[in-house]
Amino acid sequence: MVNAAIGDVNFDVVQLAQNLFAHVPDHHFRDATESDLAMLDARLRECHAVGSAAWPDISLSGEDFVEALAPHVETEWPIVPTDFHTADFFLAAACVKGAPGAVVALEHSFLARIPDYIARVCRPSDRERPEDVAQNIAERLVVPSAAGPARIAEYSGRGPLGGWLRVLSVRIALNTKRGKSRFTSLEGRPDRYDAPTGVDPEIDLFRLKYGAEFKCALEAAFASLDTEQRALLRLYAAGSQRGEDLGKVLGVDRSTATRRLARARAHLFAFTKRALTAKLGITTGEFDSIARVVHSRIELTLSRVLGSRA
Amino acid sequence: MSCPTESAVARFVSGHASADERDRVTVHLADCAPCCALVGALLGTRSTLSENTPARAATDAPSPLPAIPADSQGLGRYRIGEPIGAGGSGIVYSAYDSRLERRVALKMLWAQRPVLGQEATRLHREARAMAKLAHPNVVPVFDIGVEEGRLFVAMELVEGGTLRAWLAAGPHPWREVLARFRQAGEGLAAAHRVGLVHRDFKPDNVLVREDGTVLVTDFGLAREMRAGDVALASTHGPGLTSETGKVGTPVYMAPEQLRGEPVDVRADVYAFSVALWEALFGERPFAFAPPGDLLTRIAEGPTEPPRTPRTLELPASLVGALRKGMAFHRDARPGSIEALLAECGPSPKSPKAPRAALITMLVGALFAGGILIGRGTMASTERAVAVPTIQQASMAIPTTVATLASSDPSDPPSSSVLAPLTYPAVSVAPKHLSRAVPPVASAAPTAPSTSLVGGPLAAVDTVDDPPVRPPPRRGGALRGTDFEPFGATGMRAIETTHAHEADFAPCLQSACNNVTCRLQVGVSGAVSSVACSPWEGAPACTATQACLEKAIRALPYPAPERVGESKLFFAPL
Repeated sequence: MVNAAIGDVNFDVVQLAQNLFAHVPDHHFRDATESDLAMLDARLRECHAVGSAAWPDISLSGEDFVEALAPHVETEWPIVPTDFHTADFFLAAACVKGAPGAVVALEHSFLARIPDYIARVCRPSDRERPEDVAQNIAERLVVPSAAGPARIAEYSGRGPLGGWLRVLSVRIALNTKRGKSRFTSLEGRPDRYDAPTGVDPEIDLFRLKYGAEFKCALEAAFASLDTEQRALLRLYAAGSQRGEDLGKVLGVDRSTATRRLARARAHLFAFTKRALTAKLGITTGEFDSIARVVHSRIELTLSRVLGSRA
Repeated sequence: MSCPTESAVARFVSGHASADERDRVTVHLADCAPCCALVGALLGTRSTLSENTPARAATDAPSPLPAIPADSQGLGRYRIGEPIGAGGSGIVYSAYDSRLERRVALKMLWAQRPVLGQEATRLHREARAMAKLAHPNVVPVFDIGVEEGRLFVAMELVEGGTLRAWLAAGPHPWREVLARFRQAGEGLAAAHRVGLVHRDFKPDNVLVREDGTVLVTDFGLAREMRAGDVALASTHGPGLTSETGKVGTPVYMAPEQLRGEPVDVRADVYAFSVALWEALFGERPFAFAPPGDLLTRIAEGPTEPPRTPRTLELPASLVGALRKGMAFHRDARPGSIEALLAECGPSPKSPKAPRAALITMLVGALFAGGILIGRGTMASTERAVAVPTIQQASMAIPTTVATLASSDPSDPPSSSVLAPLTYPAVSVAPKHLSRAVPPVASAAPTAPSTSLVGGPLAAVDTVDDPPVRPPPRRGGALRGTDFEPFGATGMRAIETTHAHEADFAPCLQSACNNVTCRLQVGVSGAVSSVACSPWEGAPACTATQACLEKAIRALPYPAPERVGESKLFFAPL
């Protein structure tokens, strides 16, 4: 046991730290000094103690805790990051190590929220019922499968477990949906993009005459944009249309994000127009007459084009 | 390129990714439709850190799920939501206070033994001290207590990140770093004035709100935390901690604190100096060492800082002040945070100043343009009028003014829009403005930042001058206990140390989901201002006028003898 009273540090026993290094092959902090080890050991003990206090009903040994932590350690000091979510990680580690009661606690505290997380992407009217998707996600989290170990092992403690789980749930849900829809499309469902609307004859005519060319031109135009513009348009097509959201992820303010999005759309339109006039051999004047249709179609087509290239 | 991990996506979506990581994810998104769909779906939901971002009907599902499910785990009157942060002292959850109907951040401290009797009494004394601590740079603590044997603290839910995260997103110009720390220092100093020593000051305990305001948190908890930690550690064998309370980050602890001796404000001076040094130089003043060696190193003084173009820019006086602040013997340190800050150099001009000037200008323009529909009822007894109305172009809420009641009962109200009101002057301004400008802005200011006051366009206030002026407040800083439940209307008002404030949300008009009203009642019981506006970014509410009318009617203030006093309204219509 480490005696950490001031001025009386026993450097001989730094067991948890050594355990950690034993599970981190080729870790280049193998040559850490004894005092480094003593500090790290104290930190690991602290994390383990905090985690145990957060989940008093779950018993997980310090060694097991460290073993679960090993795959996630940073390669630089501090080995345990300062923003480490100790209690969350403790629970995840306990699940990985199969500590009694851990999965129950995880289920109660976190897995129960999965239906809320996926409610926006899985509707009750979907082919795959939301509760089935949620069940599937929960299973993949805690049950090892042929594809690999239980995915809760991937949680590293960086950021809250709830946030991580939300991302993972939505990702799995979207993948599930995408798999299904690809399947249905193979069954011969017509591409809705080419179906006549029956509402606007001008659009139907345009689509009949230029549909394929338009799609090609749009794809070429999209490819000519820079990465940020492509990302912005994709996010926009994927449903995040609020300036503050886009600004948040780009690290800029709302108005800047809105302006950049507007510029990207203007470029897209201009490039599409250029490609289309070149391809169809029509004049700018002729193009203008179909511009209205292009404008009205560009958004819808964009989301289809972007989606179909997945 | 493989898709970003769930952790990376979570950071990206919440805006907490580093600049590098953000660029990497953006590049990936440009060509990955599945990840874009993922981010799009996540952005559509309310993030855990900004739950009160208003949802717009257009982008939200028909009935957006409540952020905190009704059957979620409860703790007394709090319904506990997602953990939004955690540290050595406990997990912080977003929570919903079902009694006051608002979102709070709920910190649960680790305590393995029930907190009872004397300890609970001391906690409540502590809570009262913290409640007195109304300062714009301190996270307001609403409540502290023990439920089911667990010690908890309810605080304002601050949107933003920690100062550490902000620093990590840098590098920032040193003046900006210093300005942020200066704000934190002012928060610390305010605590010292009411006799609270922080004891655990570090960048992780400082929050930076989205608008750049810096708030110190975990005040006065340190002591309680130590008690909990000792209890906790004792179950894991001796040595991890002792009465010296070494659990935590020793690097910010003053030598006397490391030795477990009693501490005073100079321990905070030390911690502040270490944190600021680290922020400015990018490395800690004392090399990584176990506590025993750390004391020796502190005695030797800080290591020579790296000499880079960036650090060479730092004024010698600032570096010297920090060296003094980190003196081994506390008598050698400045006696207070204020003294340390003074030695760090002259305080720069308040960054708000240009904005305030702009507001004054715009408001002046409103007046010059005759937007004010003044009537004879604007008797000379009224002191001042303010229409601080700045709107983003996209919101474009036309502003109009109506004088609502006369000081002379025989004179009918000049505007028939609202019923005669029983309140003195009231000004209405969009909410985001009420954040920029101290909401209580009566004449005779003592707070230096109320630079607006005194001009021809100072905020309306016919309230008797409060005996003590509250510090400038920013939106949402409510504390204390209920003073008047508004029951059926769903409104709640809170007694603050110096003034009453009430939040009205949602709008009383059933057809309107966008409006919030803020109301302030001076110490004398009179309404000093009401702000009624859409949430930021929300479309203007056409029912605002009606909402306001109802809101005001529902308010039982002021005393009956004030009925008939002159009032002025600015209402976005």
